[in-house]
Amino acid sequence: MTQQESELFKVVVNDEEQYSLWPVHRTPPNGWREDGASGTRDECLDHIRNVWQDMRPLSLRRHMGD
Amino acid sequence: MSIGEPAIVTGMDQQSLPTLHDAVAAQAARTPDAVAVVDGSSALTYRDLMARAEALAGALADRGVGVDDTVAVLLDRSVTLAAALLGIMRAGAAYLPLETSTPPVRARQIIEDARAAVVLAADDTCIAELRAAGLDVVHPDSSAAAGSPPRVNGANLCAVYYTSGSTGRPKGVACTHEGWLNRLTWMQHRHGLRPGETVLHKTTLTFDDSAVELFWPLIVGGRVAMLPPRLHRDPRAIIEAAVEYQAVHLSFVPAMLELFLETLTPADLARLSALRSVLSSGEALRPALAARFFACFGARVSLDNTWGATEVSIDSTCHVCGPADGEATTAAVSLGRPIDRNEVLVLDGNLDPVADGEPGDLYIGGVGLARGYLHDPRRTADAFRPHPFRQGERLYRTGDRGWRGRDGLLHFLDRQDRQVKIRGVRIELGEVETVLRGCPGVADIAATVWQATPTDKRIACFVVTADATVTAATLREYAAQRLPAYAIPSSIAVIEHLPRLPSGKLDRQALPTPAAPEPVEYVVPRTPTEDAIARIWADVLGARRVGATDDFFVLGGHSLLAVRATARMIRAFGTEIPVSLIFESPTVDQAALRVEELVLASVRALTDEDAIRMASS
Repeated sequence: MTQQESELFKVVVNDEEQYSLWPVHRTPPNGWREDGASGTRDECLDHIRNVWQDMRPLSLRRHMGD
Repeated sequence: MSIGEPAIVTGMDQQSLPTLHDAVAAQAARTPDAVAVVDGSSALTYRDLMARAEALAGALADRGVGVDDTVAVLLDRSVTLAAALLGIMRAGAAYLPLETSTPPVRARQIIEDARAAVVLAADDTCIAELRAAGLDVVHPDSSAAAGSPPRVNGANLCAVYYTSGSTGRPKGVACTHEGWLNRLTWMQHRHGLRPGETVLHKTTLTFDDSAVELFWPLIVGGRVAMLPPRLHRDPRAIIEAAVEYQAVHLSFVPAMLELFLETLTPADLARLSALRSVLSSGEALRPALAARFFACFGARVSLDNTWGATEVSIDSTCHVCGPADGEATTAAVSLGRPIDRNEVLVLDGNLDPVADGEPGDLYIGGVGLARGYLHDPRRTADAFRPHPFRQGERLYRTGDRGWRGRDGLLHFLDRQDRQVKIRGVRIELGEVETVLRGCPGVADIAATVWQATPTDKRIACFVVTADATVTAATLREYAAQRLPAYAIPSSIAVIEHLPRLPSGKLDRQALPTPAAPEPVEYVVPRTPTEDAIARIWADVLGARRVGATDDFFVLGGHSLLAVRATARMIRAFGTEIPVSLIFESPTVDQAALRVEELVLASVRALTDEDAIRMASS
């Protein structure tokens, strides 16, 4: 297993409801909160594929009136 | 104004003009009768351009196209293309550019991935093929009354650019109006295009730098001149168009810049009197090429080296080159510093900044960030990471490694992954492997990149087959139907097994050295013309020898090399030779016959006085 495959992440999300990855043992930066999921990069990305349904930033969704 | 001094920009206010279409419309209201776009057969004023965009927007709205939808574009360069792109944006949608030559399998894959409801095409054959594939095709001249414009915001999409993806599936970068307008506004700060001045649109639409050539002039009252279709790799055609339209600015990838400089004659330099800026982007600029540029133009024309990614609105840094860059001993000219409202971070594996001078991973932040990859949250989350210092913002992980000097200048080092650049175009070797692995009878494969000559990088593939009937020729055919021309390996070799490390991983270091394919049967050139052509081709192709019946393209030739070979043949035979000759007569003997005809024709065209003067000199 390569270093990258063994590295662990947690899923984080910002106020625009955009998702990303953050190293599991570090506190997310300002403006990002943990969504609860963690695991390998692949596991986290699979989780994100399931939960991130509308990729428009939240402020744009509001502007577009939905 | 001296070179490098920023111009004062007026008339552009991004807050009140959130979209590209709005910015062009505002300019059209200021200068309705000025010429906006010109090609070989027609010209459109700003008023005409907006009217045509409006009419197409109506037709698209009738098909249900709306905000953030995607419309595929398979159109050659013409004034119609400019109107079509603005029409798509007027309808609220984003354009998805595809080369008219895209293999149908790939075109359909991308159109389906983007969920593009409508395809714009004008060529009859192209329309028939797309309709046969079940797609809704609209002609760009379609017209209907457009209702009031939809509400479009700077965060809405203006374009979707597909790039190579390592898993074998291309990915669509979802670009925003706000990001692109920022890039264009910076361009105006840097270069100060004046009303009526011309920029040549020469870059193929599927390369995002083309957007700067098209939209920068249109938001400041300039004129876009269209290089005729299919000539974007012909340096002679680019020079002639730049002279004819008195272009003030040209953009190139380094490989094309090199051909442009190689082709320029002293007479051309005098004729390019309006030219004041050249931009190099898409790939590392070598100091030798910068030196060559300054040897040609001196300080008369500026040379900018830009770096960035489609994921962050085309370019994010700029270095204004000077003669010192041409004398540098580094492999590449500096990437420069971030442009307006862009930020570059050099981070280590823990996302902590590294000290100046230390190598690290290059991340880009700022207003240029794309929304992500269209309909692909997985790849978006992987490439767009949390900004460690700016509240709630994201950074794009470029995959490039580099360092920042104490003077603040950024430098490129290498890639973290297997992405390569061939003549400025991003290619994932993994995509080439995935596509060829799909060919029946292929057991194993490795793609690699090699430097055939100092200025020519090519893709080579090593294939292990499970079926003896699979040959390099069948694999090449298979690749040509599924990959864009620039990603088709120039050499494919069938080998017994791939070298492996003890861990079982591919041992890339132990792969054989790729070579230009050897002629199957070497036929000695039979005439002085054949001999001269064979020598030129061997040199250009980096091949040991080329025989009389060998095919330029089978030996690894591609369009840029054809241009270079043609330039050498013109010098050797002292007669004008069109670049198309090698495409139409790709073997040495066929080319030799054509060249002899051309030489004879030019002799016949001489007047008696010319002939006597030449004979006596």
